[in-house]
Amino acid sequence: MKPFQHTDVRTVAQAAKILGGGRARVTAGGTDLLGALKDDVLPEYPELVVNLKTVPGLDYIREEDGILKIGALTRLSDIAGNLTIQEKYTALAQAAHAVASPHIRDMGTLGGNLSQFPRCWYFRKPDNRFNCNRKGGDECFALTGDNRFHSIFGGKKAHLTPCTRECPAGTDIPGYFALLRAGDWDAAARRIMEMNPMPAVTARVCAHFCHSACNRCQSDEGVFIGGVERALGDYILDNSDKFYLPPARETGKSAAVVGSGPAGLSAAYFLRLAGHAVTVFDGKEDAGGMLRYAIPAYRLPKDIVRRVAAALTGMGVVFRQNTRVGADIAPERLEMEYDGVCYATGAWKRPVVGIAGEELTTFGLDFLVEVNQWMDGKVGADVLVTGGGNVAVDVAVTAKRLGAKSVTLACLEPRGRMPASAEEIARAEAEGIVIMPSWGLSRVVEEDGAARGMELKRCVSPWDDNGAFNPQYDVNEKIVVRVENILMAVGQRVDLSFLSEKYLLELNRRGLIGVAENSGAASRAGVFAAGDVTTGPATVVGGIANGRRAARGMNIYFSADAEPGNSSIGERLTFDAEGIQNKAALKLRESDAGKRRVDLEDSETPARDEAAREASRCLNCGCYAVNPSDTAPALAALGAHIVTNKRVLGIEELFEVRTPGNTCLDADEIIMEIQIPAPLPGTRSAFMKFAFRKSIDFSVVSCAVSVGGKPRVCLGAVAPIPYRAVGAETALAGKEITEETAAAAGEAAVEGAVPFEAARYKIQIAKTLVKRALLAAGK
Amino acid sequence: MADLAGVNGQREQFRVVGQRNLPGKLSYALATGVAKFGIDYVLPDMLHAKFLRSPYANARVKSVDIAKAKDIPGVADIVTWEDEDIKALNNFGESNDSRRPWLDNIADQEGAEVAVIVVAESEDICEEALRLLDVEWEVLPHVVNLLEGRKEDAPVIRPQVRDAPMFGAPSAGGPTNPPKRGNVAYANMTSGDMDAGFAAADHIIEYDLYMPAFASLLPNPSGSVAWWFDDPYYSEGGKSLHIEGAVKDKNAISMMYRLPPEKTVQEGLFMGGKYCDWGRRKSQEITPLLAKRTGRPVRCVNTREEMFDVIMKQRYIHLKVGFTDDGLITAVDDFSIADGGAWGSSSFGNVGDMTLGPYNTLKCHNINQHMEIVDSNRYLMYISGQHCPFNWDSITVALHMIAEKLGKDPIDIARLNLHGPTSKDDPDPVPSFEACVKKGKDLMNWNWHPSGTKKLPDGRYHGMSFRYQMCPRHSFSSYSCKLEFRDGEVHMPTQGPLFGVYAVECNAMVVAEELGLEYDDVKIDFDYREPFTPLGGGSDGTTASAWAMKECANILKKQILEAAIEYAENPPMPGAVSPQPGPFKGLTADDLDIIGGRVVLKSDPSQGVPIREAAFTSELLAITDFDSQGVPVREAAQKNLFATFYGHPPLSLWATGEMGKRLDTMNTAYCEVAVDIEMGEVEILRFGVAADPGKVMRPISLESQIDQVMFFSQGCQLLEDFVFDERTGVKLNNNMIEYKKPCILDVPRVDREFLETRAGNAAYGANGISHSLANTHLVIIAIHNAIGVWVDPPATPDKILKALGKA
Repeated sequence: MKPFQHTDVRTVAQAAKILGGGRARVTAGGTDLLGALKDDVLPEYPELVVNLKTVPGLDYIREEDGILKIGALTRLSDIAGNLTIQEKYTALAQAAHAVASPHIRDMGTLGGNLSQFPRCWYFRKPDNRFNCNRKGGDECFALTGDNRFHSIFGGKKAHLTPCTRECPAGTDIPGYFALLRAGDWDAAARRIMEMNPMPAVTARVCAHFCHSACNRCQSDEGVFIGGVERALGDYILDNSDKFYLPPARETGKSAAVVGSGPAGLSAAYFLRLAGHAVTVFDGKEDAGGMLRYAIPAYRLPKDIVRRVAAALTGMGVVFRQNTRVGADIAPERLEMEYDGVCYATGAWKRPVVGIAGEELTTFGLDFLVEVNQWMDGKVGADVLVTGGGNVAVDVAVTAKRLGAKSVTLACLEPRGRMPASAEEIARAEAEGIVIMPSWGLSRVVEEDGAARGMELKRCVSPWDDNGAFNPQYDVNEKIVVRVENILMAVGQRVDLSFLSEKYLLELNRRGLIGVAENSGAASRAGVFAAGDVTTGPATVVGGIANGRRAARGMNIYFSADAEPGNSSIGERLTFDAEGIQNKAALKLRESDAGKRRVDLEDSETPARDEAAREASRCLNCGCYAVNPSDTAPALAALGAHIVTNKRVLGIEELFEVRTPGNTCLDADEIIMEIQIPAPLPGTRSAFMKFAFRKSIDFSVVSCAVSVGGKPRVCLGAVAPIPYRAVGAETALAGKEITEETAAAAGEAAVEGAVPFEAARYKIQIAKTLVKRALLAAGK
Repeated sequence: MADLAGVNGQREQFRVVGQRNLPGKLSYALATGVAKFGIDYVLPDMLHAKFLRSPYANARVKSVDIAKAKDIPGVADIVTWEDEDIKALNNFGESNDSRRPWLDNIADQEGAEVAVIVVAESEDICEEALRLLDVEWEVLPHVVNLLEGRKEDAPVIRPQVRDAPMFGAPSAGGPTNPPKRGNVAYANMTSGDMDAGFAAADHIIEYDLYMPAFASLLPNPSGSVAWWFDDPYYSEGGKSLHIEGAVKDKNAISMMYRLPPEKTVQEGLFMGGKYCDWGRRKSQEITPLLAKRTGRPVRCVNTREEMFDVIMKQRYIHLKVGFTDDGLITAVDDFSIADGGAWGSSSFGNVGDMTLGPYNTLKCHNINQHMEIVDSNRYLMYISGQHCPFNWDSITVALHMIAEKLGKDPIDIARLNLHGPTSKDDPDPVPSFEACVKKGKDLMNWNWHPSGTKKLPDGRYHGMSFRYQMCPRHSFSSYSCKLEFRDGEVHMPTQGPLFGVYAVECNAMVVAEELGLEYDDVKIDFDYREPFTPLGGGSDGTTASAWAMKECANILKKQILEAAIEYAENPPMPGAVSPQPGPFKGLTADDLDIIGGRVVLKSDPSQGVPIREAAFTSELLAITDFDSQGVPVREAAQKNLFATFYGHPPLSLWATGEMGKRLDTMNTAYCEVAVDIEMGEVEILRFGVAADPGKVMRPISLESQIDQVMFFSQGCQLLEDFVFDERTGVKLNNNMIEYKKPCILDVPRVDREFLETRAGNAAYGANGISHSLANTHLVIIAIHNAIGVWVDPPATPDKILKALGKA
């Protein structure tokens, strides 16, 4: 056991004050906490243990005003042996008697029994061997491990899953996957659009950081989230009239969004969703920004972008294309005409690299925008592309597909750390593009006023010791790549020339529009910014997230309701027991490398059933440990309330999945009393516990019932929280307890169970326990 | 009765042997908590030691930086595997061709001691120092699932060669063992003509059975305390070592540290080991070195979690059995997959037990056995674990299945297939078996019914089962016995420690029996310097050591009688204050006996003297006092006598290669269960044991052993199992909540009946019994008899429900 301080307190207030200071844990009987400390299972070891047992007056059992009141420090053995409880609140006496062993019942208290840590052998493995989801880690090891004692009614989210966490937009990926598994594509669509209004786009172009974060990567192949997203994204676009609806009510506020790239479109969507009148200004002919002009059609068909813009138009968003802010309309004017303005103008400007002969090269983005014209007369030429990001790969692949004889791509980064996605790099190499990692630009080899090649110098590291971008070179190692055409796809810059000198908008240290971290608000009231203009060149999904942030900030600025957040909070997590056995991830059907074109998409969208099948591989990472308390279901069946030093909670409100606890209590919140209303005449209750051994074991399943009045049935050890079997209660309503009605209630109690294969047996036990407990109570 | 040689000839009347309620010599200490185990030794100025333990199932420590750990106040020493002191330590674990260093940088089980030992002022400081070690691990592939580990594409987890297993060499004329491949070593044995055997069969059945790995009890965490001291008696040649809680035999530590035995002291009598736990943990071996390095006492004790090392290994068996219409087995083809154990582990319990198994009790000669021994990372101990007694369950299941198929009582099928006392060709079963069955049937009200046909009044299904085994003869150990007749009392000097085997009481009873004394008259002197220790294979050792001590007692008896005659021939001079000699003048020792603590005439037992007055010498009269006139009072001196014996009982069948092909004493076990098919719950209504130990020597020991072994059987068949996280190889249930050893409330009634056919080869025709009653399928068969489906042990409710199609 690690050392810790131990202190006795005389009052609950004194304990709460200490606990509120952090790194402290409260103990009553100590039968759970001390074992946990001894085994070092908690994610954070307490510096101080606060002993409540020295608080006087918290161990009592008394009936007052028709309510049974039990002090939180009352020992379980006293509850089990109390004649009043045995007679009138039978289920609680039986539950208290069923806990562990006589010694533990003599030490353990009712408050402590309700507050136990999760009972899961991964959680409880000493020395914190498994940094599980319930400890703040990313995985529930029981999901793919040994889960014979785990939940049969799904899991609970303890915190964000790694896929969601790694998604810049914070998409609830497991949430919409669960809806897909349930066959509810519309609900899945609405779920993904809570964070991302254009999944058809991101499915195709996103770097999908979620993939590498997927917990399945630890054991086999990560879930192909992008493939599922693509099927859902296309479904959304195919049914855009269902998902891009005008707002139910107008707020009367107006917003101008400058730029129609991913950030601009995202901001426009969320602003319009909130009921504001939205006008998008864009200097180009078509909406979509980089999506439309920079990303090649083989990756993102232009039609997809057009359909997204059209869907937004259908919502009521007005697009004013060919309108350049700063030239056609001044920023000041926008501010005057609109209640809020959001700049999402992107990063289109060519950087100056500073090498000799740079003027003889072509800017990669210009190449992509004007690609067909640029290639005139260059078919059969040798091309060098510089840069290591997705734009560079796009440029290289496009050039090759349009007929370049050879394409070489040189970049500063070592191979494993190129910013381009692994899939894009693989695609490039499959098509014959030569990748030259760890090379920097030295000078253009010029002959007769034309570029004839590029001298490269060895890049030792693109970053300095602090991790900042600051390339280090070995100038003694140089090489010349002989080409006629050089496409510079490095470091696009943000062009803020549309802001006049008089229009004062604070820039940050990088010369970008400075915005508040949480709201995207710029330095002028009502002005917001999003996307590359605030961050420099970044990802599409980052832009979408940024756009959402700015829209949210503007909402708050308008004093409007913030748009709904993640609707998955509190949901029961489910998974597909068979699906998770499938180790191989979905693969996209792609055209042969030799047949690929620049104007047609390389791959096909997976069919909906394929996507649903892949969604069934999702582990839906949460915590699947069961609540171990034996007294909790009994108290739930008896309709108890919990009195803490801060509030009064219904017994079922008490339980929540937290790291690492089982209750919703704040760190400085202490259970003081348990109150149970006196049962109505004729009401009887019973508790039954099934464990492998007659003593010491935790429940495999427990069941508490109350009959004779409004029936209540609660199962223990079958879910992360005590499980009220509402189906059983409904089945029993108004009926006598007989063999038949009790059996029917048992069947109803387990409807909706989604067990792990190894825990399936619990269903049979649960329904039998419900039946037997009802019959016992009904006698 | 067995034809026993020497003074171990038959005794018809017993006064002491077989008596109930004789107190255990160490029971008081155990019952009151006075008994000191290794963990209980706390010395002034004592340091504590702990090992680095692997969080991985298979891993190599590439490097370790101890700098931060060493700087912690209170850290006295940090030793790594690269230290010369460590390299110089002997590893006496079995090697199987690849002996490992005593400590190295490879951990092939999660929780294994590896690479570093920390010594500090407290265990907390040790733990803190271990946390601050900067360890670079190389995690290696692991195997905790034998069925995966035996596959050709499985990662090979260790280079150990097992082409020549210690036990189970190929039988003469049988196929040779193939070389080890991947993780799998092979052992094959063949006898008879398999083709002819199956051709003679009217029926052939094939089935799989599984024997789970399980642990035995953990009475006390293992560990040791050691310190070095100046011994005034052995002062030359350096210090002597005192070690407590180390091992059942301190000589192992003497050997390890190259000390003469007399310079190694272990006075404690309690070890706290596990069933058949012959291995030594590193915590029991390292403290002498650490104490030497630090110059202070050092204690190293394992935690209870660290003690969850498997004793009984996992095994999968596929059996193909041919039999005739009347149930006679004609051929057995046995294929099994066994856990190879820890790196360097014994192959005992894997290959060797095939030679000791049940097939030798069958009339059938056509037996084929193939075994795959799979290396694993399942955290096994060195030299521990055996499935020998459990191996019998393969044929037990066969007998039950044959009975089911033919609609006959399994006891009748067993009887038909069991050979007689002297060879596999004897037509009739051994008489001991018949006697046991008769007793057992009465005990159990045996009324066999086909599977799934009997319901109890409470709605549960009733099942019953039967099993036999021969009682083993472990009599190949020799014992160095010494008895002293000192100052008129008989002393039995005995070396500790004792680890739960109350053999010493049996020995004292035999000595009392032979010397005509009461049990309490035999004084047991526990002294680490004495060579006698009554251990060696549980109750088998008890009966064998008792045989040797019986020889020794009779040698002493003869000396006492001869001394009594000599005293009678040379009485003390008149006036001396001395006991009067007995009326033995002119007689020989053959004319005398010792009865009721008196040396008496055989011809007239009323004439004699108390034994304490029988042996005096008048050669030297000692002045012991002066009378009132100042005249010296002279007394004759007590004559002290010493008898020694070294040897073992005859007819050690297991040691002479007969391996159970001859049968003497047998035992039978029975089980009744009730199965709740709605919940999958099995209740053992009772176990029954009708056993023939040859001669019951100390009833309470025998009964306790049977209770214990049925407790084992219950545990492994209904509850116990080691659960691994297969992805990481980490064991998930190293505690008494998750590892489900039955609680006292779960333990069923055990009814026992004993026979005494006196057909064994040890003292009075006794035979060992101990773990021969352990089994993995007695309950499983009863469950099958109840519900008609097979469930692999442990038959937990989830498996029962699954077998019933309800999960």
